[in-house]
Amino acid sequence: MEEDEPQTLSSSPAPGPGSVPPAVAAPPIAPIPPPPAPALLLRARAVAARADSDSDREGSAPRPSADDYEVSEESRLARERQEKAVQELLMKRRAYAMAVPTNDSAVRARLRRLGEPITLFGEREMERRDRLRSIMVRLDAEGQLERLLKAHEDEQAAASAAPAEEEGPQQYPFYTEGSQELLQARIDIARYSLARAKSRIERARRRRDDPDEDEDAEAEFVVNQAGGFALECSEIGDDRPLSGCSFSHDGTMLATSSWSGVTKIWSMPKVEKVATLKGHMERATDVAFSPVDNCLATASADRTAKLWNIDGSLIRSFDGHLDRLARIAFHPSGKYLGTASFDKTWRMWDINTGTELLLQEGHSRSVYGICFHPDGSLAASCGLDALARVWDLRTGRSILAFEGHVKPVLGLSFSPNGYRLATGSEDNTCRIWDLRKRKCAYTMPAHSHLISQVKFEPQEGYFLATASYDTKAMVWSAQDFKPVKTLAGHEAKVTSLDITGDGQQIATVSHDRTIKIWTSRFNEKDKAMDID
Amino acid sequence: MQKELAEKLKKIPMLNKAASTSTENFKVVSDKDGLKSPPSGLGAQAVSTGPLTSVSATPVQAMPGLPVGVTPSEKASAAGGIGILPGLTTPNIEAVKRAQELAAKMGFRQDPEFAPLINMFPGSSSTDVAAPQRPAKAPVLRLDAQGREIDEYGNVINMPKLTNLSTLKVNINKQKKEAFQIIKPDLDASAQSNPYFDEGMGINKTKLLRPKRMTFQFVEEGKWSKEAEMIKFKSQFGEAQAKELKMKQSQLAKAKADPDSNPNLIAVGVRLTKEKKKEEIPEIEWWDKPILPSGSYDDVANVKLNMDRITIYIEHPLPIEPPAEPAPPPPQPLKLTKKEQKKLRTQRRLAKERDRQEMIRQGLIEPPKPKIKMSNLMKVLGSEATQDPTKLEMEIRSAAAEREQAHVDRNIARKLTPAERREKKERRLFDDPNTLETLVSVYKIKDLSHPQTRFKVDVNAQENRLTGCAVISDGVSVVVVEGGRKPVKRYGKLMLKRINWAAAVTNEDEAEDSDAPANSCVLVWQGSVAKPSFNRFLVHQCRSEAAARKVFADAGVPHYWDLAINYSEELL
Repeated sequence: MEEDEPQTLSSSPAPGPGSVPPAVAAPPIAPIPPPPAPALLLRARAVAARADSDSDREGSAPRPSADDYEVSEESRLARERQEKAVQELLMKRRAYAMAVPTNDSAVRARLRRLGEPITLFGEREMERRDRLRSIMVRLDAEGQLERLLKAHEDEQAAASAAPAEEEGPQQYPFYTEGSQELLQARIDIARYSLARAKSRIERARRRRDDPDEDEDAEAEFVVNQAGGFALECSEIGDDRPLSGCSFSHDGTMLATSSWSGVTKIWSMPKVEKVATLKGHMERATDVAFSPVDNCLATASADRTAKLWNIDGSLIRSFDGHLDRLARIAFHPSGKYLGTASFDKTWRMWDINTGTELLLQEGHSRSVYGICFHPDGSLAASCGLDALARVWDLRTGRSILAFEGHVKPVLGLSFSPNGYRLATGSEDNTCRIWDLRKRKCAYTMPAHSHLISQVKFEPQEGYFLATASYDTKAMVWSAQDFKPVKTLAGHEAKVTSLDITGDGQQIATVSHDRTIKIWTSRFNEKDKAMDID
Repeated sequence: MQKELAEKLKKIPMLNKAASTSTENFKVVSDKDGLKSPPSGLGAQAVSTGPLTSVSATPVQAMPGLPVGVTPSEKASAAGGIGILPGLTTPNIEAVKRAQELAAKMGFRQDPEFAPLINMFPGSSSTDVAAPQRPAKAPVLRLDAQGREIDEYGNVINMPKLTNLSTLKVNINKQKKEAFQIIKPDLDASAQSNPYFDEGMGINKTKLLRPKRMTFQFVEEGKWSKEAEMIKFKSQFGEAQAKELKMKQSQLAKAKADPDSNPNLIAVGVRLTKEKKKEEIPEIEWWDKPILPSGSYDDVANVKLNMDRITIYIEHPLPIEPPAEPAPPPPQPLKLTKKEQKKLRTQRRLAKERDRQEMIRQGLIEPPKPKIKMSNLMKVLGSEATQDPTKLEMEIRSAAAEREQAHVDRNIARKLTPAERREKKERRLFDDPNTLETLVSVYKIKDLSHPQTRFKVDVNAQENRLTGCAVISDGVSVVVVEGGRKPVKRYGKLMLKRINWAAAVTNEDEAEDSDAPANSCVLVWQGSVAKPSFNRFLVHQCRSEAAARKVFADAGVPHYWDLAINYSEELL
């Protein structure tokens, strides 16, 4: 509207040739003529310009580039004057909009960069800033923006003061040297794992060949038994939500960690508190019992993992992570501890010395879950990059990267049979990966909310259990991946679960602060069926 | 034929007499009757048994076939025949038993032709106790033409072979069975010795001597049902069509059975797939291979590790970006309180106004016209208004109209064009910048056969731009939809709230059946996948569960079907 108005107004005096150009404040109140055709308007304006040459209200109209008419000196001057005024106005507007540092030292620095005196005699901060502003506007108007920008960049570089002497993008994969302890640990793990792998393979082969062993029938029996899981016991575990739980290797104790940072140990048949482990400054995120002896490790959001005796005394603290920890896991030999952290790394620690053996990168987002192969040869880590990576602990290589999940992977577990890996993810699915075939064996659409933990039954891996934020845990057959039983009872998100070594009991912990123990009640039912 | 029969009946007493007097006489009779005499390896008695029994059996067989309308001349004899026969049936068991005993005494055994005869009678088990008795006299070896041992009467003596006495039950049973089988009845002998033997007794010799089936004869599965079906079909469509159907079926069965019968055509692989395939156990896990130089677990004890592979180096693999991570949110504008917002607005407007005034002062823009209305007409124009009031009023009115028009135009210009409006609505309904992945919902419905609900399920999915499928099988229906967050949510409301599933059954009386579980729809699973598995929404009507599963397997998501099928409330 504002652009249009001057045009119509400027053309209005043209039809009345006799009228004297009025003062700016009082334009003639005349009937508004219908706007003339552009060509006509142009000619009329040219005529008007010739006729009343002293008129200074012509400037905003578009000027014809044709030189078929001469322009009087005064008119030209007036036009120039007006243009200058417009320029000034625009400049002022831009100056007003321009970002000028407010800090006096920054103003001085900026002035120095621009090659101007940093201060004038008697100049105060405000005046200096105004001067900088005007200089900047002038430079901007002269098109010396690049210079300005360069000055700005210099400033930023000086501020960050980072050396950043990298020569181009990093070439992946690359290798760094580890410690001597790492090499020793790798050799140790290799010896340990090969013996275990040998016995595992031999056992599997023997079972397959032995006519007296019927794996299918046994699996069916175990799965049927798992169908009889029922709530045995419920116990309030803490004042804050519980984050993790773990059975001891003999199944006589249960440890739970909570957001209050306290880890509690419970005696198993009837859940009675045995010990309280206090030491973490922040919430505890996970707890794991050693697979060989009676010590346990806890992870916490205070960036440490701690190793405890079952009587509640602290053995060792593992410091080094740069961000909060998520899950932890013991190596099957019980000599090493793996910790996953939100600093995008997972680390391996020596239990006995407390040294950090391995700092493993490789995930583009936070690492959440970690798990060791039953042989002890491999480790698997998963994280918020929706990826599960399998690492060879002997060679230190990432041997597999399982892509398939869409959202962060939170839980993972190796099957005792040695070649299956289960992962549970935020996309509500649980995937079974085959290590031998190096691909996804099955996808279980499992829950209606994210899956927080997955565990295989530790004896033979005939069934697996998943815990989910939909307040349920579920038991699945590991043969055909059909649902066997839903463990419903919690009132809030189920954060973790664990299965005893004999596969007869499942413990779940939840944000509703309760520990629930589920026991198989299959025996009575089985007998009843036999009578039939 | 009737005549013949009557003659035979007449002959029975005569025959009996003849048999008792002389064998030659009998032979004539038997020849006359056209009966073949058995091989003459046996004695005279043995020969005589054949014709006698066969003749006496004939009337019994023929009786049921006798027409009611017999000629009066032959009626008496026929009636007499009938009158005798019923009386005969009762004592025949005892008679046979006696005959057997007699035969056993005479050492008359081991004729395979007659062996089963004994077994026809329940009381015959007593005879097997009668062990073959040897004559008490000094043994005299007599042999017949075939070189068999015979006794003084010319009967063949069958000596039981002396074998090792086995105490095994199986062997004892076998021996018993053998002993059991060797005895055969001698009807003729009994007839000879017993003056009261009634040959009209009706011992059907052919029936008795029918060879015993050594194996079970099982009725094939489906035989009777097939027959019943056939009968039903016949009663429905008539004989001719039934025949046609039978032909067709037999051809079909033949075609089916044919490849099976040819052993070369049986694919070996077919059988393998039927049994559950087990993963084979490798010699060595592939991840252990590089460490072991020998490539097997044997040298684990020797502890020879490939130290080239076990190094001190830590690998830093290329980090892989997550597949569907939403972009980080744009920086949020500075949040201001209401008061601050008002203040800022005022300042901004004032500055703008100041700018404008400055420009007007410098003569850069035209000052706005004074706004003349009818109410302030006299104040603004004063005396001018009185000169030509009509003209001025016209001007004022047209100016007012113009102002109003400008206002309306401005508003119209600010409005979205229809295309833009459409686009915006679409964006609101379907766009979701925060979810890059596809959400999937799996519903399980008991009965989706009602056309109205089927229409709703189909059309709503299409209008919500969801992909997936609805698979209708006989027992269960599964609906899978995949798409954005909002459409999936809307669809979930349709499925779980808006459709009254209990009322949506095809026939109304079924709906009122209270004992049948009510039709319902459950959300089996909801989760996210990287990209949709289906191209569009389709409704599939499947005849079997296998076909239904195939629909999903073709899309690469058989686990949806598996889960929906295995999902049940009782699991909870």
